[in-house]
Amino acid sequence: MLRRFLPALVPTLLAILGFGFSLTDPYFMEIFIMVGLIGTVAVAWNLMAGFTGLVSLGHSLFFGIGAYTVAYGQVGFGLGPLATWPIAVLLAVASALFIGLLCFRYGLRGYFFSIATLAFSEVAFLLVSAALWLGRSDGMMLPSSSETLRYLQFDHKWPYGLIIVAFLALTLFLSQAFLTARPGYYWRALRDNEGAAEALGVPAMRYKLLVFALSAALTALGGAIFANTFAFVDPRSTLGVELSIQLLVFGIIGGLGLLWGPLLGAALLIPAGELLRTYLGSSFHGVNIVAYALLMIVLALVLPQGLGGVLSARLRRILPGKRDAAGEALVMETTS
Amino acid sequence: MTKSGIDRRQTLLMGAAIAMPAIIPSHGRAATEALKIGVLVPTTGVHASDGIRMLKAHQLAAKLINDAGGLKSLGGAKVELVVTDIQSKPEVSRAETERLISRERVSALTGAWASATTIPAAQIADRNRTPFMITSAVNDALTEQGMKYVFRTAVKAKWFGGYIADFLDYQKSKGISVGKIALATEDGPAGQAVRSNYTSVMPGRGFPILTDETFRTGTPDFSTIATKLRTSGADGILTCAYAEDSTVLLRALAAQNFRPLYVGFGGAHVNQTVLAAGKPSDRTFGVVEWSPDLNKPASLAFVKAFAEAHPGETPLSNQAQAFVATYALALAADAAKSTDRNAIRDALTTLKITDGPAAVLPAPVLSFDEQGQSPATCVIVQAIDGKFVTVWPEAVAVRPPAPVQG
Repeated sequence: MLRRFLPALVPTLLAILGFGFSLTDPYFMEIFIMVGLIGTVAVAWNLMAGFTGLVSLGHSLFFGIGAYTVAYGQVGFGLGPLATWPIAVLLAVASALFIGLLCFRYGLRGYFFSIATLAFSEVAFLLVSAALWLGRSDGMMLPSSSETLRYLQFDHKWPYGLIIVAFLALTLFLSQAFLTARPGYYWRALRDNEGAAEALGVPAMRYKLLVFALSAALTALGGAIFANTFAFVDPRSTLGVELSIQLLVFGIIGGLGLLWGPLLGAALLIPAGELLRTYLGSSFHGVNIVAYALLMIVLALVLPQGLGGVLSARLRRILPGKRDAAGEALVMETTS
Repeated sequence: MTKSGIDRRQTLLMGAAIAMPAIIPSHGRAATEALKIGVLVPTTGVHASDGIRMLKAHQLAAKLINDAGGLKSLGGAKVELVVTDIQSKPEVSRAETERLISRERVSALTGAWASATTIPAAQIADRNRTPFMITSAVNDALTEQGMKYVFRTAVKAKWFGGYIADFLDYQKSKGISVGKIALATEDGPAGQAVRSNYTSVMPGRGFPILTDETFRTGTPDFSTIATKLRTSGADGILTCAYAEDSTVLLRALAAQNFRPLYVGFGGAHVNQTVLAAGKPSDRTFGVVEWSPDLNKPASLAFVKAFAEAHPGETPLSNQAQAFVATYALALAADAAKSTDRNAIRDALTTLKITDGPAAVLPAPVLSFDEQGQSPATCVIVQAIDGKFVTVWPEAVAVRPPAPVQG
């Protein structure tokens, strides 16, 4: 049991350590929250991209659904997270099933699937940017309330960090439970050769819809937590294509074939971006962005299988005689 | 001078300079501690040009204050700007606000251009009990949510319709009657926000809206819309359009020999591109938050100082707001005799600027109500003989409005 969940347990323990360290400074906590939140959403995205071969470029749609459900639920109806989070998850699952049914029914794969998901999220972005009742492109502020627990409004940041640690643990353990059971094996079979998998009796449509719904649900939960944490949502941050690309980049840099790969990518790139902005941002306009881009290019060239891929290979070499022991479970190399 | 370029006297002076901070008592240093103001501006990303422009105004304010001897009550303390690039992104704006407060330990903050980048920054500042002076964001909610540390020099978005109605009332008092209105707005978020403001305000002020046209930005032919506006029976047209569209619309109206009272919105209308349209744009009005020819000594001094610092450049309204925002924070620290965040916040609530270098904006007084909102106002400018001239309110107007031709 422990071995099965080691790839979820180790990153969770590291996240708890990171949380403890971030308690020393609110700025560190801000970075921890962003790493934990976007990194976890990237893990959810990677269930599709890394494990099923369905590269979604429109995951910001589900993140936005989560964020805007919380914002509108509170502004329009005075609802707290107890009501808005489940609604957000249900709405995201319904949207994922609708998009998935359309795409899979007409056999959209590879780039075509990616473009279709991108199109849906862009339509949502444009609609929300023009919707008066959703605050248009200015976004929506969640009104402050003295009911701290009901609306999850804290004066300090650490309670949000704690919520994000819980969200990260939930995502990792739930994903690992699926990946080490029948759906996980079917997803990998579909990724490697959909035709062959179907010929062997894997119900492709059902399992692709399952991973799409699971990934969308977790992403929407991330969006909902985002809205409560920052008390502000806007189309650019929550529905923009930049968020979808961020998930892709964290996945590629961290390692697509690993459960915790995208989390590693986020843990590396978000603080790197912050450091570059802090130390280079005020010298020349944009030099930090150029440096960040160069860092990504170098990482992609030097580590084509992702940072996690290299780490897992090292671990395997360190533990040569224990392929089926703890090391193997942690590595969980799945990229055939 | 020795061969190395430094003689003994210079060496002694350098040594004294290095040793000086250790010799001066610590309370002496604390008295002239600089006022650190965090400046959140987008210098990269989609709003980079606006951010870089505003940064010049923030820096000019700091320079003028420092050149004039700094903050008197703080022993001549200098204003030190801690500038950060928010990359035109709300999440960066939020993170940088957090960093400026917790790492750079700024006494106050100002920025952050658009509403979407200002709202998260203001929330973080309020949560951390750090005064935040909004420069140009007009989202109503910013000063309606009960935030105690957030202040704004700019107007609220929902006030624009009221300014236009006030101006039309003024015109009526001068015998120029405008009874019925037609709207023509672009279909983007900005145009539609202005449209909903006008539709909610104008009928209640006695200006019924006869037609309400929305068009796509970049529309090549406005003749159909011009015909609808002309045949609606309206004698006043309120628009919100980008400069290129304004130009094409004005030409289409001129082609039909229809010259009603025309009021364009913001910097998109009060723009060289619109003036370049020539006769069709002549005598049209524009509503803006500030104009460089504003008949106010501090405003004219600001324009002069800006032109000296940046030859060939004329400041825009958001630069005037950025200048005033920086000045207001410095004056509050001076009044508070402290760089403490709470002291500056308290001083801002009682600040009243009626003259001096910070009295740049058109409102007669710069002060802040309990929600942090200043009683800001707009001005109406009119295109007269190839340039925009301030014609209303009377107190700051360069001249009265010229009759609309046609």
